[in-house]
Amino acid sequence: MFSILQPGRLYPPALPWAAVFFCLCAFGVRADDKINYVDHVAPLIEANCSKCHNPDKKKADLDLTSYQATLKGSGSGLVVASGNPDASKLWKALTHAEEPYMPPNRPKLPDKELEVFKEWIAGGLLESAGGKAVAVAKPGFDLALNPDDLGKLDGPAPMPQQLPTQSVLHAEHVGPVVGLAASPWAPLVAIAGLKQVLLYHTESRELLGILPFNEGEPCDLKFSQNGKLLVAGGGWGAKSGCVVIWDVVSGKRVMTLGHEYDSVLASDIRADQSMVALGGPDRLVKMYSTKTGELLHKIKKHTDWVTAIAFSPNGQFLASADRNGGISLWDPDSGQELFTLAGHKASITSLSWRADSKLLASSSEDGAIKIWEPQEGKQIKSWNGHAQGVLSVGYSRNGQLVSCGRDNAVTVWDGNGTRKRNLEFFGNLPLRAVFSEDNSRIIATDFGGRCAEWAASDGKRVGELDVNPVPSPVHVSTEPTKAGSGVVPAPVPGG
Amino acid sequence: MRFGWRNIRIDTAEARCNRRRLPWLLALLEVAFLLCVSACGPSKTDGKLEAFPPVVQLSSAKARQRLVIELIQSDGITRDVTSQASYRVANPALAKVEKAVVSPCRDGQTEISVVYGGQTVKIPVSVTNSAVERAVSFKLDVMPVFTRAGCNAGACHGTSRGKDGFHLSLYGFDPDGDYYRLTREQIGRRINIGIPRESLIVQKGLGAVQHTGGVRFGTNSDLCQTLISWLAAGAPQDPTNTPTPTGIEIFPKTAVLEESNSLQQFIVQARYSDGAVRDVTPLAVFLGNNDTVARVAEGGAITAGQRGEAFIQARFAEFNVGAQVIIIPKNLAYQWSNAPAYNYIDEAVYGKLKKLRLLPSDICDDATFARRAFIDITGMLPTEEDLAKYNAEPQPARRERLIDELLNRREFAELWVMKLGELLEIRTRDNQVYPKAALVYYEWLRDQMAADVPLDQVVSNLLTASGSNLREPAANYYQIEPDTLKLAENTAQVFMGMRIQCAQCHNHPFDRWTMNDYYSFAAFFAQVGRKPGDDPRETIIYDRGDGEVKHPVTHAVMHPKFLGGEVPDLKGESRRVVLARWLTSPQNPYFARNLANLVWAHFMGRGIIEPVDDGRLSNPAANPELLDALAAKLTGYKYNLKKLVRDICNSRTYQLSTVPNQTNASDERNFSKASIRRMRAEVLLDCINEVTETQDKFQGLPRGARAVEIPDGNTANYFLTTFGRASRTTVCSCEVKVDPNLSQALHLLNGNTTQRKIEQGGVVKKLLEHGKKPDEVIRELYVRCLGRPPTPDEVARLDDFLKPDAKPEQVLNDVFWSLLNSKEFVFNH
Repeated sequence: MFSILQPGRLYPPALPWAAVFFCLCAFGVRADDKINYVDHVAPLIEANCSKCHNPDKKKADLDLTSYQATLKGSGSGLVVASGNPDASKLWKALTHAEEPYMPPNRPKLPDKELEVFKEWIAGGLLESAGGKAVAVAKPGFDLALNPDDLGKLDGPAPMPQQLPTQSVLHAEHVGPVVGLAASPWAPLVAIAGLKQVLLYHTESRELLGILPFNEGEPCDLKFSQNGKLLVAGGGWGAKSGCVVIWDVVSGKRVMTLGHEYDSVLASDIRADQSMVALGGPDRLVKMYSTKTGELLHKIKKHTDWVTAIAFSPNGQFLASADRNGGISLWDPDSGQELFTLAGHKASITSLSWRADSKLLASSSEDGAIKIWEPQEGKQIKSWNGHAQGVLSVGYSRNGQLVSCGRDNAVTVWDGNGTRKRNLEFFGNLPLRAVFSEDNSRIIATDFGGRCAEWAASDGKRVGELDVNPVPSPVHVSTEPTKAGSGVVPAPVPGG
Repeated sequence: MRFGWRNIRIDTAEARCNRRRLPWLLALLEVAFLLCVSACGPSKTDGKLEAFPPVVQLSSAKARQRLVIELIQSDGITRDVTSQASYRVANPALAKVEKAVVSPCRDGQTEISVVYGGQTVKIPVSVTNSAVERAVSFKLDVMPVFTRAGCNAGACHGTSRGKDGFHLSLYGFDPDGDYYRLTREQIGRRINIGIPRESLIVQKGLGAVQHTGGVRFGTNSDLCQTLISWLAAGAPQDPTNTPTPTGIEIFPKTAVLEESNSLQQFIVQARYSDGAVRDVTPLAVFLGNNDTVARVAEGGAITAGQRGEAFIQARFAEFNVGAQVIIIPKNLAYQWSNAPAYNYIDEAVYGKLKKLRLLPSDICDDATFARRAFIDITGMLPTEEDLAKYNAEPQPARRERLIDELLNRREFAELWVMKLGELLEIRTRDNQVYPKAALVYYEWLRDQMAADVPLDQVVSNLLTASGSNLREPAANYYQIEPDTLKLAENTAQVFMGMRIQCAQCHNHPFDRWTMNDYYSFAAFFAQVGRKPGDDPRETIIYDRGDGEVKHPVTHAVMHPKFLGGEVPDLKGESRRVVLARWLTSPQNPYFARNLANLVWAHFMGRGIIEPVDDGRLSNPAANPELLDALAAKLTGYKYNLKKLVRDICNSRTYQLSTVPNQTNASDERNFSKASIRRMRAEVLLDCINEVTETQDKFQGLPRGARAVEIPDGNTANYFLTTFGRASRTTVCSCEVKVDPNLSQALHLLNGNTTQRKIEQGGVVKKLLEHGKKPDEVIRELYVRCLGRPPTPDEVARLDDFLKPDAKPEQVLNDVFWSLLNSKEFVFNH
């Protein structure tokens, strides 16, 4: 730390070292004393990096010992992005967010020193105290959400019409509820119950329908982009898995896809509804045609269970993630990998696209929420969401995020990752949280089998949705044709 | 092992003894025949009746207790008479016995009378909470399911990274972690609280879905039902005041069964922190170490197989216990040979031999004994003068006098300095242990042994040493091993014969040690401080007064606790001082036993516990009574090494011949005959030097010093390395290798040691120059190398080579070479 001080420049040379140190501690870095390369960064480079990254050795073709050389970057491109530490390779290496970890085989630099790097990058990469900031080259992403990019819906928002609400099964305890999805256009949420999917009105919290899922337990729920279809992936662990698609309005099964040998843990349908992607413990990502039911692509890339799958709203990208922390972006048409999004250090728990398809959010057991940009496959933002692990993250239609995690909190963030509020959560480990279509409500499920609803504006709880409704004799009597059995035969694929 | 022969066949000790044995055996058989009649055919119901468990406690409506009744016949054979015995409850309103299982009816105290063959044994019974059904508990009920079903075994989900994506702690040492992994790690997958039976954990165990581990339990099994009822209750975590198991006990502790298909049921009782006692037999895992001897079925029933010994291990929670099973042939005509017991050692050895229906071999001849005693006690071969003096001594005190004389030789102490030096890893290490430190350490140890310092004192000096490692040599104990955990491991292994390494990462799967034991033992060394001294080679060892060891799973600070003992009150004393006091005290059940075993192993070629530093539960002593007797004597002798050695060497067991008899040919572990051992590397080289009258030069020692005296384990020497000298890089008893291999044989045959030393020493030449005749030279060479003159047969065969035209020196050197390459020379027998 002493070498940062440059006593000859800032302080009378006669001043003893201890006093200098005291001054720095006492005043910190003065407001006018902007963090710059010459005064602040260079001494740290000298102490920690220059053994390898000097003009002679130039490990990885990177020289950090001069300002110009640092800006020039390494063999694989720029290492600093003005104004954006999270997108800077140097910062990611120093904070051990991404390999190679620097300095090699040593613990991270002390926080104080890291702060110098961060402020220097964020402050525009000043060369010296009097230098000029490097223009923020290009933002690379647009954090602002253009409402024109949200698309439009033809006709009325799809809502269930006169669906049976007869519960297939009522249990003493429900257990964790892992499937939850909100319609993008209608005040409607789908909740995975025991062998059934429940549809609730987010305003009235009225049970609008129950869709039986006899193929095991439903794990992952998704609405199609137009809100007309509901997709559920699930099955029996270590036995069988499939994806079931219903028509939201009529409650009819449209098709069943996939004959997997283990439960489907993650699935989604493309915006044009031409294909369904699914994944599970067999580590494969499979894409099925909804027209013919045929397997279009089988991707062997993930090194562990596939835990999350999401098509971008515009249908251009497919994102898939695994239990090992890996995320990949695919071209759904060719099945070719576009990018590997490396950075998470533990299992990915969810993926969520922003409505304009320009950003992808990921949550992980490593505690981080990360935002990715799909055109160049870069990490835009990363922040600690929930200590001990984030269990879900979801974008609202207006670009906010809601997440929940093992710290027992449900949190609303703005698009930059700034915490807006925590919801009043009294449950037992929140598992999934989503915004309603109009961004006004937040719905979350928990480990204890409960599902509650909050007002997004103030984080106050407004009510609860029953995941374990008691079968009502009244409903049975008014049940249409399939009453009693509770079993809906799976339609032939392509039907 | 094949050592080379060149032209000459040398008669082996075994062959000679075989011939000499016959008349003996005949005489013995006659005696046996006379005595046999009276000893045969004991009645089936005489003997002592024992009922297990000694106390029955039933503390919930569903509590059950199995009973096991054992009849110990007068001939030592035990019979499981559980199903034949009759049971009567004093107050039938309180409890009932059905098929030897006690179940509760109403709260109160009563007793059960067990009647068999006219004998009655009473078992007190206490019944509490007989109307209360205990809620299913994760730790008390569900965790044992995983151990019992084998889910958390080392080859399955208990392996450090789990199997097929699911990890459980090995044998359930981390119940909280397992609870988390089961319920909250992969949320929604492993358990289904809504429909418990459809939980993946149940389906996998039933084998109803793909499961690499196959079927682990049946639908109607208690294991499955326990899991389901826990899930149906919402898979709750236990309240914090849930009692924990504090120990388990197996009944009966020993069984002597007849070949074959005799049955014996074992039961296991667990004690809990709230004082409760439960029958956990159905939840315990039973393992046997020898299936051909005793086959262990699930549930603790064993079936006798072939003659032999087996160890039955039962595992429940973090505890392991064991029971010993001996199987003997049915209706075996066996008569004890009436071999005399010279001292308590023989008595203990015979006790075991009688149980196994074995007879000890005959006693070895005087020449064999002398050679054996010289090699074992001094690491040298007897010279011709030594033997002459020995043979001049009167019988029968001859052997005893020789032992006394050898014990007072300098070489005896030196041999033990070497052995202890191996255990203390006296060895230079770059930038850590400088030659000076290794040398002062060695010299200190030599002085201690030469001055007959009691062994407990030596160990205490080592453990409590502080100060400069150059001026306080014992402090090198802490310089040679700077790592706290390894220090604890080494201390346990060297001074207690316990390998606790496993417990660093998980509870020891085959021993009593848990991670708690490991880290609380390591805490004794947490405050050892080291700082540089004035001399750059110097380190000052001191007590820092702070520093703790933390449990890696719970992160709790571990308070020093004796391994297998209590938590001491430190009273501000140095932790090392407190440890040393306990370690060397009789309160430590392992110290004296371990030392006695070490000494025993040196003289018998095999420890009573073998390997000597592997005193784990599942590797029980071959003869616990013998080990206890030796340990008690050693303690009684105030840890004087010589006195114990004197006892061992004076025992008949030590003086047995290597020649087996009909009963003990296959016995390797009960000391019914002497073992044939290759001399260890240093001793072999010293003996070669001795007989060839040559010298070696070892680094740091004057020319002529013996290999046994090398202070630094780092000294390079091809011969010693080839013959398996300890490198002293670990404390393991496996460092010294006496297994023969090809390069050893080739080195003696073709290497430069044998041939060069014969030429260098010029023994044959000198003898011839002194006017000895070739046959006299041969005799002298035989005595030098083998401690005996050649047999007439050997003389006759060698005569063929000593034709008048042959050069006698050349031929005699060849004879010498052959002798050095003979098994009889290389082996101590």
